[in-house]
Amino acid sequence: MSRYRKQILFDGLGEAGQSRLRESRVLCVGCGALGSVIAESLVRAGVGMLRIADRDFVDLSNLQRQVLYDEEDVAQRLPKAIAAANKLRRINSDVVIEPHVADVTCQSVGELCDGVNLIMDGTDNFETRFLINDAAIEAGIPWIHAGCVGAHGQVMAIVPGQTPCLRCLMPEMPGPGTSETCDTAGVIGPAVQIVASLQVVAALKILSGQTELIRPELTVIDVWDGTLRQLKLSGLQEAGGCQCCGRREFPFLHGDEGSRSVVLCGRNSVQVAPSTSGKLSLFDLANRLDPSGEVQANPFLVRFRPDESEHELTIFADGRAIITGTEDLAEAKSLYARYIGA
Amino acid sequence: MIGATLPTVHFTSHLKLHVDCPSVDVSGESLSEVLNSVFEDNPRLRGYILDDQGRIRQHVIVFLDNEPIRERTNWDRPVTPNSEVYVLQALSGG
Repeated sequence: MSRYRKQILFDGLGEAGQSRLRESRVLCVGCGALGSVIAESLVRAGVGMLRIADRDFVDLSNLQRQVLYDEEDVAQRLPKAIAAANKLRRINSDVVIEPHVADVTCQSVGELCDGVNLIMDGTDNFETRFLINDAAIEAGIPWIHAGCVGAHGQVMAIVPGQTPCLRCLMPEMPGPGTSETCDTAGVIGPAVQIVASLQVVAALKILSGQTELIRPELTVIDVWDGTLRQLKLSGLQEAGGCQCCGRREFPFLHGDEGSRSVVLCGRNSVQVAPSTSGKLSLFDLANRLDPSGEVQANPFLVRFRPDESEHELTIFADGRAIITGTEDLAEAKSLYARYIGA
Repeated sequence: MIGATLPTVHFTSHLKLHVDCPSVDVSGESLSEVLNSVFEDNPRLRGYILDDQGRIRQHVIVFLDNEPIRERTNWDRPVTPNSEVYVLQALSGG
């Protein structure tokens, strides 16, 4: 416990809190900008196990704010979950790191949540957040939601039965193109660091057994203006009107809601996922694509740039493809169908 | 002077990326009157806050005196000269 001495000295945690922390198991969904800070902070703080689920690979444009990654990860085109695990194990070998190179879908979310005490939101899209909300409320697992664009961020800790859930705040998912992304508005590293740090503070309270300290509120910050607001959410749960935590209906978890293709924040990319799950032979795929353009492969993915094309396809073993050079879902699906096959 | 004798409306800094919307003092005795007064002075703002049917958009959340307003169409809530309205947009990035 000596490595945690300074943290134990902090009155809010103490030895009892640290012991609870060491026993805790956390799922971090998404390991990009927010997820990098969340994962590093929780591993340094000494959680027992950190499970990381991320569907993406490390790109040069990530390095400006995604603090776990470096140029070597970019050169190797490592999946973020793998690159993060490599780094986190060097930071604290006492913590069990469980990387999953996977999209979090209604099929996979149940298994990913299995046995965890807390879910951290490191995602960049509403669809996954609505899915996490369904899964967390259904299973009774707290989760810490956050979003960050530009210099602006929002944080909301959700404790089933104690606070409103995400859908109390936002009953329906925003329509495509209705809200800003890191791609259109940009984002600065300090905003990410502060938002993620606020998430981690809430996590430390919950994981150290002090869930009663979590208040029903939305924290809104702007690091450029230097403003912070805490907006009360206590009235949102009245009358049990929420479809998720009130009526306990989980359409995102049951696959009744949610698409299979999403635009990736800040990447000029679309992810296309097959409707059925299955293992793809990356070796066969690389050979198949070789005559049609430039192919690079490693054990985790195949990168393919068709001849005379401005697009690049990165295909993972679970059949997902990240198609760079477009934000048009239909165009991305068409490229998927052309080169990978539905 | 903002906040002296009239309800004040603040907008999330995120919204300011699209439309000029500084904090404003506006007269009105209900949330509806206050918001409509803002939209009269700043018509472009209406489209960012309301949809075609005049409902508050799904990713927009309005707080009156630090409490969220659940209704997306009926804003008959009374406001006082010291009231503060805060208009927030959900954020997707991360």
